[in-house]
This record gives sequence, C-alpha cells and structure tokens, in this order.
Amino acid sequence: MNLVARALSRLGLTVMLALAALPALAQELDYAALGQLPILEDGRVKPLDTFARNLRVKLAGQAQVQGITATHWLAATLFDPADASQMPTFKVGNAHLRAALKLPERADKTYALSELAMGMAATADQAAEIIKKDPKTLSRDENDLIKLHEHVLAYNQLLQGLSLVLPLPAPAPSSLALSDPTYLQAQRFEPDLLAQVRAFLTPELINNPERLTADQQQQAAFLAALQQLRQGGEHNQMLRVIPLNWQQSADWLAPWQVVISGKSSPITQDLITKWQAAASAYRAKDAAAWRSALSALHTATLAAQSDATLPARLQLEVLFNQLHLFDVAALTFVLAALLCLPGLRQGLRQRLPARCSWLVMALGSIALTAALACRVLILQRPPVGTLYESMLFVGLIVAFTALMATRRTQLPALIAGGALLPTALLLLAPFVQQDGETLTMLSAVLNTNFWLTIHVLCITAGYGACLATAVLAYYMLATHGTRHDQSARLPLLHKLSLVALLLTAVGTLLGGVWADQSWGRFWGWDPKENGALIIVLWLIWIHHSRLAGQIKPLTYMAGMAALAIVVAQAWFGVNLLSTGLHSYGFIEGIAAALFGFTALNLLAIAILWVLARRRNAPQVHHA
Amino acid sequence: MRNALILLLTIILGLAAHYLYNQAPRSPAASVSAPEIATEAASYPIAPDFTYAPGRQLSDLRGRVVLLNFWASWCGPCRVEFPQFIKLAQARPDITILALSVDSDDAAMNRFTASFGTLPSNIIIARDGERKIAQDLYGTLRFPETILIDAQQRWRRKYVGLEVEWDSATFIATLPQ
Repeated sequence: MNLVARALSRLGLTVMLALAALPALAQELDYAALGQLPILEDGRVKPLDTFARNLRVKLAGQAQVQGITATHWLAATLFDPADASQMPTFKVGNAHLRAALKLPERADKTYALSELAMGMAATADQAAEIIKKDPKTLSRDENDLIKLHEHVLAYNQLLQGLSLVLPLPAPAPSSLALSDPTYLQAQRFEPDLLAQVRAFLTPELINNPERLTADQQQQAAFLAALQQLRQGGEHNQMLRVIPLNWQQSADWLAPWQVVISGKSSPITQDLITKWQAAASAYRAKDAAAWRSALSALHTATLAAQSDATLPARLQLEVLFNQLHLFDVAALTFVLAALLCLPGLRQGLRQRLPARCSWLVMALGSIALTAALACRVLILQRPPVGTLYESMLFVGLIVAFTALMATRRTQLPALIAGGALLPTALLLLAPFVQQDGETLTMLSAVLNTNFWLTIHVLCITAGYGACLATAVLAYYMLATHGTRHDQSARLPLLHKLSLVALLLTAVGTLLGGVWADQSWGRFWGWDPKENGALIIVLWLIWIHHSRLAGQIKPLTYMAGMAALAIVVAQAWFGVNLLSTGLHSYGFIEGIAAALFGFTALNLLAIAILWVLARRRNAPQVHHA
Repeated sequence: MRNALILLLTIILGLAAHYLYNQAPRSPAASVSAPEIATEAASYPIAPDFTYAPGRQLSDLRGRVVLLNFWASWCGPCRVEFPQFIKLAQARPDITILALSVDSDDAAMNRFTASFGTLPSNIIIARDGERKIAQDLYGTLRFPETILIDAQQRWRRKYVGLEVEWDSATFIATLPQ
C-alpha cells in the first residue's frame, strides 16, 4: 500500500510538473513558420527552410547542430545577432587551423562566431595575402583558412540582414525621446543630429573628446552608430526576401537594398514593417505575436509577388525537406537487398523473401519517384539537368528495370543488384553537387524544357538500362556453370541490352538535333557526344559479334558486364577532360574514384570469366 | 517491356508535337492582345491615400496626374530639380506637383521655396516633418524621390534622384494624359 501511495505520489508530481511545463511549451516559438517564408537565392525563390538548411550544411556540415534546428538558428541570426554569435555555427575540421585560431578542442569541431572572432582578426592579413596567390598552388591549410574567412564574411552579412529594423546598439540621445529605436526610426533625425554635432564638435574637441559633455558624447556615438549601420547595409544583398512585383519586376531584394537603392514603395515598406514586427516578437519570445507576425508577413509577401504557383511550391518544398524521401528510398532499397540474402543462398526455392524483397524494392522505387516528382514540381522543369540529378534518375531507371525484369522470375540476385546500385547512386550523388544545394537552376544552354525532357531523359534512361543490363550480366557470369546457372536467361539479357541500345541511340540522335538548333551543328566530336556514341558502338559490337557467332555466351556476358565501365567513362570520365560544350557536367576529384571503379570492374569480370571457364572446361580423367 | 516502350515512344512523339506546335509562327497581333494590356494596366498598385495638410488628401486630386515629390531644403539635388518642376508645371497645367518637404521646421522649407519666387498654382508645397508619409507610408529614405501617380490614383512609376529632366520634352511626352 505504501508502495502504491509512493508511486501515485510520484505520478502526481510528474503530472503536476508536466502541467506546469505546459505554458512554457505553449510559449515555445514556432521556428518552422519562419521556414515557410520565401527568399530569392541563386536565381530561385525558395522557402527560408531550404535556405537555412543549405547554409547550415555549408557552414557547419549539417542542418541541425547540438539540437538547434536550421530555422531556429536562422531566426536567432536575423533577429538576435548577439545571441546568434554565441551559437555553434562554423565547423573547423582542419586541426592546424584550429590550432592557429587557438580554438578549444571539442568532439563536433563546431564553433560560435564569438569564438572565432579573435582568430579571424589575427589571420585577416594572412588571408589577404593568400587570396593573391594562384589558387592551384594553395595548400590544404591555406584553402581551409580562405574558406573559413569567406564563410564568416557571408555569415556577418546575414547577421546584419535585418539590422535596419533591430534596436540600435547605441542608446538614443535624450533630445530625440526615442526608446529602443531602430535604424529606420532614428535615421530620419540624422540631418538634424548631424547639424547639432557639427555645431559643437570643433577640431579642438575632436582631439580632446573627454571634454565633451555626456549628452554630446551620446549624440556623437549615436550618429556614428547610424552611419556604421548604413555602411554595413550598403552591400548587404544576401537576404532577398522583398519582391519587387510592384515595379513589374520578378526580382527580389534584401531589405537594406530596398531602402538604399530607392526601390521602396508602400508595398515594400509594409513588408519591412512586418519583418520588424516579427523581430520584436522573437526578441520578446512572445509566441502568439510571433505566430501572428509571421502569418501576416507570409500573406503579404505572397500577395506582393506575381507567381501564382509559388505558395504551393513553397509548401511542397518544405514538406520535401522534412520527408527526406531520398534517404527513405535508399534505406528501403537496402532492406530489399537484405531480404534477398536467404534467396541468394537457397536459390529459386526460397520464394517468399524474394517476393517480399520485390515488394519492398517497389516501395523504395515509389519513394524515389515521389522525390523526383517533388523536384519536378518545385523546379518546374524536367528531373534531369545536372550530373547530380542524372545520378538520381539513373538510380530510378535501374530500380524500375530490375523490378520489371524480375516481376515474374523474382531473381533474388537481380533484385539485390537492382536495389544496391540505386542505393550507391543515391549515396554518391551529393558528392558531385557543390555547396550542398541540390535544387539548382540550370545554365542557359540547358534551360529548354522540351529538349531536357526528350534528349536528357532518353539518354539517362539509356544509362540506367545499361547499368541494369550490367547487373544481370554480372549475375549470369557469376553463376555460369554452377547449380544456379542462369544461361536460360540470355533472352532477358538480350532484351534489356536492346532497350539500352534503343534509348542511348535515340538519345544520342536527339542530342544531335538539339545541338544543331543550339550550336548550329549536329555533331562536333565533343567528349560527351563521343561518350554516348561509344556506348552505342559497344552495344552494337557485342550484339553483332554474338549474332555472327564470333563470341560465346560467356564472353557476351562479360561484354555486357563491362557496359558498366563504358557507361561510367561516358557519364563521368569525359568530365575529367574539362573541355567541350557540355561544361555543366564538370566536377573535380573523381579521377581516383573512376579509376578505382574501372579497375575493380575489370578485375571482377576477369576473375568471374576465368572461374566460369574453369567450371565449363571438360573434365579430363587420368588412368 | 513492349508496353513500356510504346508508352515511352508515345510520350516522346507527344512532346515533339507539342514543341512543333509551339514553334509555329503566330500573327504579331496575337502576341499582345487588348485584354493583356488591360491586365498590365490593372496591375499598377493604388497609391495609398494620406492627408498632407489639414482637410487635404491625395485622393482629392483623383482625376489629375500627380507627381508626388519628396524633398528637403538640405538636399542638393532637390535644389537642382525644383526649377525644372516649375517649368513642367507651367508647361502642363493639367498635372499637379505635390512637393512634400521632410524638413523638421517650416522656416527652412519656406526659405527654400521662396528662393524660387512665386510658384505656379499646380505646385502644392506641404511639410511631412516626421516623415510619416515619405518614409512610413512610401518607404522613402533618400531624397529626392518622385512618384508618378495617374488620374486613377495608381502608382505608375518611381524616379530616384535626378533620374530625368522634368521639363524635358521627352519626359513630358511620357506623362499620361
């Protein structure tokens, strides 16, 4: 009974504590609401949620640091810079740099601006010297120092993004009768204040400022603060949250840009006032006022721009950011591959796991399709326009091809291969994308939805079909001559490779037509064009050799498995040449990875081919 | 597999047809139709109303083209453009120039205007010392700035600094009737 009483008493205490905490929870600001607001960045209007996540990943390596979400961090940065400068913001991974900046060692290597300030000032001259050098000659330490300085400069700009509507750092002179004035409120008194200061600030007093009265000192300090803020705001263009539709313009400007460039209007003024209301609510930690200010700001901003689809696209993008569909797809594919393991050991007799894995893989493909569909709707263009996007799309094609090829046979190995290859592509894709932003606008040469749809989708679907063919060929090569021999599946291999041939050949020809329209020539022996042609020629060569009886099924399988190498060279290898008109695909630092991939594939094909030949060799019995 | 290929080819052909249709030449008249022009005109925002003197509001001037000018006596470019406004007002008596000074006292404003002699009746001078109109309503922080408001009180265009010569034939030709 005692025990029950004590338990009840503890329970009561817990409930009371929870109830006591309720008002506090209710007072928590809804930072996600800030994420719904639009901003123009890199030529695209996106939600602040995406902006905050990308910037956080760029500066700190991850969107959420020490439990602080990207939008919470952004809110502090914009509305309470003093508080934000104490938040972990910059990842300094380089140990030499940490030592040079005298930073304390910690597990996540992430530091606040206030911790970096001294080091940044101390290394400013060094950084200025390094910038003058040839970028190719810079050491890793020098590169990291420059990068950190660039990040700090960018962050400083963001910290001052709304400084025109935040309380001024200096107290207002008593003659102005302003309490907690902002730059916008105070600057209207600047001409009079300047006249007053000029009147008393004689050259003699400039040299002996201690002789100024307290009021005079306050006036001079306040004027200096106003002028300093304006100078800081003059080049502040990062926070482009004000649409200029009232000028029949699709451009968006930062608040400072609006007031300094004279692009203000009653509409922009209303928006800036609403930003000020949001800042006040944030600083007062007033959840109701915050909600109301952000709601008003959201409504007014969307009403001030002309794109009717923008509100829906912003919502979709925030949802897309939250769902992490690419991670869901990758995890589902891994699960599908794991479910295939019993099937791999027991062959076709083990049907149930194979069936389950097929279904799980179908779910993964749906998640991947949904992710790509979201990107299409958000960007309002076909899904493939960058190297990163081509990897996602090829992953989807491989998954779908594997699903189609195994819908009756449910070959566990093909499902496993068809699931792991897209997983690898999904995991590797972010490495080919610069600066963490994946939803990018396209270069002008690519910005043709028609050709992006028919040429690029066709050619990348061809890459996908080639890779699916290679997976099947590998499986057939590995099982050739064993009790799981899949030689009977040669017709499936023919079909898949013919689909790959059709898509790459049509895609290459369509690319020629596009090139004729854009560049005035059908064919220019551009590396990318040559790469696509080599895939087509490789497939034609293997098929003709088979039809002519020049190669045996085993060699045919090895040739099809080598398709993975040919595709990799055409897809990524030509980028190493850094030449040609397909300049949108250039990335650095892939030479070693591509060499490793090619060498591994050649080795694997050679080993599997030799093993298969040994298994098929006639048995010689000695007496 | 065959069905998928047929589907893919159908999509490609459909897109090609769509592209060819869009490439077809159109008559020039169809490119800018009357309703589109009407929509563009309707998209000009209404200039917010305000009281610039006791009992006198911007909306009282509806029916006339208004140049709403924000200026100050301490502003150099304002002194340059003011004579141009006088000539413009004389050339176009059908328009009104509403010149709002942000000076902190009447004396400075009056000294400035008196230096230009007698002003035409279609130039209205008023003071917005606390910048409630110039800054809080119209967002003007730098001077001079001038807003062209049409007879329907729609905000047509903003001119920052000495962007145009107000009395030039080129500018006068662009003014709405």
